[in-house]
Amino acid sequence: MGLHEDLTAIVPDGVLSSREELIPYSRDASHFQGKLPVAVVLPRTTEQVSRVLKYCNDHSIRVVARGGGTSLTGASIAVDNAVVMSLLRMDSVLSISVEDRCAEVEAGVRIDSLNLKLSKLGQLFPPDPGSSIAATVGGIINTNAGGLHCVRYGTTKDWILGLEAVLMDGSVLRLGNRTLKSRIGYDLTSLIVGSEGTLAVVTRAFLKIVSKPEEVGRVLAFFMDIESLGRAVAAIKASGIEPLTAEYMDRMTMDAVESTGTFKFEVRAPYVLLLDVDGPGEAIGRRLAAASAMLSENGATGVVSTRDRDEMERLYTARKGAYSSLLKLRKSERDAVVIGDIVVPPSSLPAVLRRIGELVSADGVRVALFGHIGDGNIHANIFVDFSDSAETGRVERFHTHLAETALEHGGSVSAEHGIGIEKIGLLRMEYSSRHSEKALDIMKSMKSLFDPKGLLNPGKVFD
Amino acid sequence: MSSTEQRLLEEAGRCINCGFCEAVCPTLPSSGYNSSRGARGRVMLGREMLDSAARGEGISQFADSFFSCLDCYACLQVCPAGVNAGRVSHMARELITGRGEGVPQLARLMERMIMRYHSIVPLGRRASAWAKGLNIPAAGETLLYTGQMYQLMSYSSAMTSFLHGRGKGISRTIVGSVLRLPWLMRLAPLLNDREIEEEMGNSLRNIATMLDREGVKFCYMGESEPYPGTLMHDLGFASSMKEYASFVAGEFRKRGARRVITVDPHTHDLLKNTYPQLVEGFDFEVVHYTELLDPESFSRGSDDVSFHEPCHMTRRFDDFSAPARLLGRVAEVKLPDSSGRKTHCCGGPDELLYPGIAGGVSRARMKQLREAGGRLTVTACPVCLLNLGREGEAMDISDLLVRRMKPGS
Repeated sequence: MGLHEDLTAIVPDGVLSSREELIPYSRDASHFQGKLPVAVVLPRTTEQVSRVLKYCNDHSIRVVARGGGTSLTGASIAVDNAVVMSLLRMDSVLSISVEDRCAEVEAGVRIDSLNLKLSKLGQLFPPDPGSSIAATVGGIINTNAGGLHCVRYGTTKDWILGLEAVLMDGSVLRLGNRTLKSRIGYDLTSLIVGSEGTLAVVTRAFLKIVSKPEEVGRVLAFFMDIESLGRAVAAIKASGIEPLTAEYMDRMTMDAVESTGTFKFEVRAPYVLLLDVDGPGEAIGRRLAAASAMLSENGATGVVSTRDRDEMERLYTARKGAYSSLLKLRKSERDAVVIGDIVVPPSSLPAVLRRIGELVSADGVRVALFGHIGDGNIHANIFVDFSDSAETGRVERFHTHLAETALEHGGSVSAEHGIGIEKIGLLRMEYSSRHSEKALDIMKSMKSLFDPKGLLNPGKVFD
Repeated sequence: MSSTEQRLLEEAGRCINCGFCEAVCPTLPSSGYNSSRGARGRVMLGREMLDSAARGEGISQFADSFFSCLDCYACLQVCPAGVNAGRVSHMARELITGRGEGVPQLARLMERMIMRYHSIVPLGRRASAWAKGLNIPAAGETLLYTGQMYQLMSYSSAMTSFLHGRGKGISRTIVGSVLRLPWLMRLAPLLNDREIEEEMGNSLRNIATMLDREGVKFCYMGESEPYPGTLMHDLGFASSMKEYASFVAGEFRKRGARRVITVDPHTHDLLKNTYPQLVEGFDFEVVHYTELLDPESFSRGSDDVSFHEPCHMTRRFDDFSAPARLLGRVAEVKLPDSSGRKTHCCGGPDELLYPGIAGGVSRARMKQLREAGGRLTVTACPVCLLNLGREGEAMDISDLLVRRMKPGS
């Protein structure tokens, strides 16, 4: 039998093979154009995942696992001669235990869907990437995604108690546990988190959950310069206010958001800070007032606060869609947006942001800036027409300078989007700057232990 | 490049594949998560189809992706770049039907029926049976236009089963004959479901009764009332639709109508938003019947309902709140998580061509409505009513409202 028939025997009604059906799986949310997969398989069970992987391993067929297809670095695009395995049919929330502070879910559950279910129990799974409407549990585990809540809650790795993952040879591993503590040898759960689908296919996860903030209020503070904004955030944190989110956008990003009609900013200024504070109902008004006053004292030229749920949701949606909104500002459809995703210690932010401003001018690139300023994560969205070699060169130079700036200030070249294809060179740069190239050799050795034939998501993370 | 191709390229060209639309597209889970049946896949395939056409290659292979789109516009609500994957599908269907390649046979049949019989099913007297005894005049300034939407629902299930070759004694040869010889569809009234006919007729009588009690004077065209062409428009038969819309508008004028009262959201949307683009001088005032009912004319009952808001009501207008306002007046209303502009389609638009997908969508929606907690599901659209009604108990809003209309109103 052929590949299609063999896969169909394992996953009846779950194999796509016509060109039209395969095309949507050749790309993800990044600017990379992947290859046409040889087939797409949509398993419903861990057993089917195991049998498909074993079959592909036995026949030396590459496999790219895919969740919501929201990677911004090309981590989930199809590679040459690969089967794409979509986990979207594995979309059950299997159990939620408030007492155990744990939810057991399948890999294809989307983050917003999960949080909708949790919210009815007053609970929250905190990782909150901008793509949470579409991103899946399996996807954010493999990316170790961050998002808007990181300033308070950290990244995905902090919320994974255990995993079920399938190796390329079909072995099913159950790692970690549903308990908050579990010391069972090497922490393979953490190893798989952030491995970008190169080690195993995650099928199920035990997630740590927390009580939802009782009340949330949102402050918009406008600034004339980015350094003042950075200092204001530092002042807020030093004061003991622990923001739930602390996001910023520059003028170009605000223009993009406004152009989509999602939100209209009341004040026209070069920068805006979006700050969420939370607390019990009786205290939230006081906390909002305190945060607003502190922002005014630290250089904000306008401060607006709200507790109106509709307005807060529109603003949050606008921020989450900022990257996609920027596409409206492309000069032509040929333009792509390369996203710099650096992170620095928050104390370095004013200096780093000033340096980025200098680099934008010096390198002659068109850049929109926004990011999770509360945790030091800056997204520099660089417009580029790849058919223009001079512009491509300028953008590559700027991207490298951006990464160097992060490293000079004790930061990293990749905060939360992962390495994928896009940042393979930058990853090398970071370990090289730390004189730790050996770390990459160890990672490659680990990869060969999990996947000796190198068939799982090849060409991602490493060359 | 034609203007439709140009507009399709512009709409699809703004997409960056973020996948937000795919997460809310009802046909994606219902098709088993086949991305070519989801919003993001459709936008990608829209670009591919244009490339294929530019290379002089065929485009029929793309048809299923676009014809399976519900046009519900859920995608547009979440797209940060404002891309409307529903419009991409619509324009793609127009290109496919324009080129005549890959048009589903059932779609062609519907076009022929509408152009020849001014309806999907030649209903004859059955179209106006609901109005018997109501003595509604046949002409006047204000026209009650049912568009046959409620009346056609009693044929929908059996006709879909028949045309898909399901059912005892229905062979491919018989179905093939109907597809080749559309006049055989004149036998379609044999597929009538009497129970649904009775139910839908009651809803229309309720609407007429309430308008009458509000003092609204109106006329009705009776069995010669033409179908508005909704399905033909949705399927992308642009040139036929333009011609047909002019015919319908002409029929309105013949009755001396200046104002048209619609009873379902599909017709309301079509007459308000599409007809003015298709028919020169389309200057009729179009109102939905719920906009003519005074909330003060109704009293509160003890009903506890989950309200399914039709897509064409909440997403095609900035503010179309009359049905919700009236319902809130008479009953305790519970809204599912997906409500307002984020409502979830009932699956109805896919019923004829992709009944499997339609069934999956309506099951998913009914589950949401049950979880909302109302003892009964209420909607304001005959298509939604029929599709949700297959999954559980559902009621038309008019049936509830008429019970709560104050005496003397």
